Formats: sequence, C-alpha cells, structure tokens
Amino acid sequence: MRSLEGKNDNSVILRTSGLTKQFGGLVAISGVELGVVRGTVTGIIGPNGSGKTTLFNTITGYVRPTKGKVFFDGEDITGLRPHEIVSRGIVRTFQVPQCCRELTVRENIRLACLRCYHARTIESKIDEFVRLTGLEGYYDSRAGNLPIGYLRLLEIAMAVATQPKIILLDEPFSGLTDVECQKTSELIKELSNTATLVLIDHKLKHLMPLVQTVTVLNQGTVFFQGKPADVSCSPDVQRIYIGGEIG
Amino acid sequence: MNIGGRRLHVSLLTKNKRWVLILGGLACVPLIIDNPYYLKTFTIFFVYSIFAMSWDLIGGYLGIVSFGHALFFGVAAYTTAILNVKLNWPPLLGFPFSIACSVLISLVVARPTIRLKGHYLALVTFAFPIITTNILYAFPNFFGADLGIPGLSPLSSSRTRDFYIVYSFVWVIFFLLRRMIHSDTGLILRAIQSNEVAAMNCGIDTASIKLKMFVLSGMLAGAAGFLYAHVIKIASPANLELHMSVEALVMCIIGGAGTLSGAILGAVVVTIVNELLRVIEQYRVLGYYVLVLIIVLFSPKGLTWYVDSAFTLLGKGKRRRSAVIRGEER
Repeated sequence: MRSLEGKNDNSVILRTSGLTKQFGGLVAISGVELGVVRGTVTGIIGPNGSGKTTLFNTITGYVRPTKGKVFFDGEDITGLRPHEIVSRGIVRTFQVPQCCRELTVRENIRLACLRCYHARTIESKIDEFVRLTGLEGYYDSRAGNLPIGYLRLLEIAMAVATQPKIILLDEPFSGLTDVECQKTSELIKELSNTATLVLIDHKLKHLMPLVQTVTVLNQGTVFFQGKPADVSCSPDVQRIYIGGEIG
Repeated sequence: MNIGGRRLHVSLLTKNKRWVLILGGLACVPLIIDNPYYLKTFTIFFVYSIFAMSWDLIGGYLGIVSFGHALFFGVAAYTTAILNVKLNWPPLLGFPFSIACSVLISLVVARPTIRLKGHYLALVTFAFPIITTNILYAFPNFFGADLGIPGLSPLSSSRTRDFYIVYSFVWVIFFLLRRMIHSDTGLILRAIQSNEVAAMNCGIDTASIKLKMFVLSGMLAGAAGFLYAHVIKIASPANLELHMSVEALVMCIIGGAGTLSGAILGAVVVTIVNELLRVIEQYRVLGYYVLVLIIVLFSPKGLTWYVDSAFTLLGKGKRRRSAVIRGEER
C-alpha cells in the first residue's frame, strides 16, 4: 500500500483488506492488502501456488473468502455472487479461457452483450467487439473450433462486452506464440484506455512494459509492491522467482 | 426485430411450412377416424408430447437430467382427481389448482437441488417421486392406494372436443417454447448447458434461470398430468412411477434431445410402440426397452436428425430444380 499513500480514497477503484482464503489446512492467500488505482494497469506476479488466481477468484465471487473484505468503488462486495460482481463492473478472464464451445463467436459475444445493450444496438456492438479483438474472419465459427490464441481474444471480447470498469486478466499470454503475445499486448494497451486493468502473468517480458505497478505474491502474502523497474532489480523477488540472485 | 403483420404472416407460413402441414394434418384426424379408441390414442399421444417437451426444456436445453419428472405429472393428476371426484369441481376449475400444485412441488424440488450437478441432481430428482408415492400409500382412504382415484369426468362432452382441447394445448405450448428457444433466452439456455461459468462471467444469473426453467418445466408436466387424468379418467400411483419419468426421457432421447420437435416425434414413437406391444402384454416392458435400445443405437442424435436431413435433401433438390429453371445452373 506504500505506493498508494497520499492519494485520496476515490482514486482507488478496487481494494482488498486482509483478504484470506483457506482450503482446509492450506492457506492459499492470507491477509492480502491490494489497492488498484483507477485508470492504471497493475501486474500481479509470483511463483506457482502463490495465490494469484485464488486472489482473482475471491475478488470475483467464485470463491468466498475465509476472512477479509473486498471493496469496489467504496462499496463492500465481499461474498456477492459472480454475476452480481460482473454487474457492478468487475469482469475477469480465466487461465483456461471460458467460452461456450458449442456456440459461435457471434453468439458468445451476443451473450455477453445481453446485459448491457439494447436489442437495437446489439448487432453493431457485436461488430465493434469483433473488430476490436480482430476476430473478423471467425464470426460464425464455433468457439470450440478456435485455436487457443483466438479463444483468448474471444474471452477478452466477451469481457469487454459486459461494460466493465475493471478487467482482471488471468494469464492472458499463456499458451500464445510471441507474435500472438505482441498482438495481445497491443489489445491490452487499447483496453487500458477505457478500463482499469489487473494482469496476472508469468511472461514478464510482455507484462512489464504494460504495467505501472507490480504486486509480487509469495506463499499467499504480498511480498513486494512497486514500480516494474524496482521489481526487476529486487534481489528478494529474484530469489523467490528463480531460487537465487541473477549474476 | 420489427416485422410488419403481413411479413410475419408470410414468414410463419414459409418458415414453418413443415409444422403447418403436420398441424393441419393432425387437425383432420377426428374427421377421418371415428373409432373412439384411436381417437383416444391420438389424445394420449398429445399428452405425451406435452410431457416430453416439458422434460426437453430442462433435460435437452439445460442439461438438467431429471429422473423424476413424473412427480409433477402425478401431483397435478392427483390434485385434479381430488377436486373433481371428491369435491365435484369441474375440470376447468381444477386446472389452475393442479398447475399451482405442480409449480409448488417443482419449487420445493428445485430450490435445494438446482445447484447440484450431474449425477447428484439426477439422484435427488429420482428420490422425490418415491417419497411422494410413499405418502400416497400412507393415506389409502384418501388417495386410494394402488387403485388411485378413479371416476374423473372427461374434459368436455365429446371425445372429439377432448381431442381438440389437448391438441390446442400441444401447439400453444410448442410454439411458445419454440419462440423462447429461438430468442435470446434460448441463447442463454444453450450457453448455460455449454459452459455455466462463461455464462456467469457474462453477468447472467444462471442459478435463477435454471430455477425458473425447472419450475416452468414442472408446470408444463403438470398440465400434461392434468390432461392425462381427465383423458384416461383415473389418477393412479402409476402416474408417478419411475417408468413414467423414464418415458419422458426416452421420448426426448429417441426424438433428439434439445429439439422440441424431437420430443413430439419421440412421443409418436412411444405411443405407437406402447399400443403395438399390447399384443404381447407380458413382454411389453421388455419389448419396449429393446426397441429403445435399437433406436438409440442406430440414431444417437435422435430421429429428428433423419427427418431434418431428409427435409434438407428435399430442399436442396428443390433449390437445384428452381435454379435450373432460372437457368443459373450449367
């Protein structure tokens, strides 16, 4: 929270306080304090099992936290159901893209548009989101037939279609080739103009240029918070990430 | 989509040509057949169609496999039987009450179970009719135990009129459901079956939609049960039996789950098979399930798939012919 000191409360769009989740004896996250500043891109990194995805799951209502609270726009949203959280303006994507495989690209995006757009504007909105994500050639392909890269784009298109204020992207680069990562990076840059973003990813090469703040999780707790440049220099982060200092 | 009255009319005729044909054909049945037995068989087929469609709505479109759909069917049958036989209410007055009872019971079943998945849900739906049957047997004086409650009055004064009443029930329900399935609600149903998490992540309250559909399905099954009781003039424990629940499932699977027309087609097959197998009464159940196995083995996608392919082929032929006439095809 150090980096947030001095800013007034209104600039923090999403805040967790003492967020803890235990699965039986396993503490997935414990006492996580996270503040996401409106209009920024925040990166969350950390070794496998450090609780990054659990953090997303507890924020978005897929998992109920054992302790702690989640505040969005000053409102307590702890324990709301996923669809209620989406309607508040928080949407997420998943490590394994969650689209309806039996439906076409158009139908998938239409599904995401249903809540926010009127029947008259919905078709033009679908076009808009398809163009945004570059899925023009795949309008009527079934989502189940798309390669992983396009499936991720479709999931992002669906997320944007719910008119979110903040988008949580869980490993948007995983499974993509370098060229695809490049394209996704550009898309994320474009998204950051309209929404606040939080990114989880292991591909630091692609993540770091996008973010303004980085939070490092380790064993379920916030290990480090700061600017991307500081993270790369921090010997502690290097130790937990690679098991030793570089050089 | 704002379609003008005339265009809607035209599209209704052209798009649903097949259905207009079948509808019209079936409407003529009482004019051709005056054997009361066959007329009753047709009426029972209609009742089965409603029952099968009610199962298809949640089984075929949402993937909620219910093994206890006969519960809603039976509860409505018993409600109208009690009102009609014991209190002498006319069927028309009993109708809203039997519908209300099946809605109530489906709410009782759905509320705690709808969040269960797959096998667990199937098992729970399986248990409810058994409990209810035991309740029926616990009060033999009131519910008539094995004999049930006989002596219901018919729906109307003549068999032909009964036929048309049940007939209109089928088509009103069929076209309303079809409309719903082809609307955005249908898209949501398919999405929930395909990937519930994705639907939730689009801001859709999937639990509430599933609950609503379950209750709607229970209500339609109740309508079928109400009609059935008045057509065969008895409400008996057989209405709630596993065989009855399985029949709904079998009709949908034979016809093709998740296609309303498949439910009706399945109802045709099941009714015909049931009637044909009367000749070998003691082997009826065996014959029935052997036939089901054969059909499922040879048409895993359901019979509508064959019908659809046949119509597509016919349509292609027609299009090619008209293209030849227009000189488009070399």
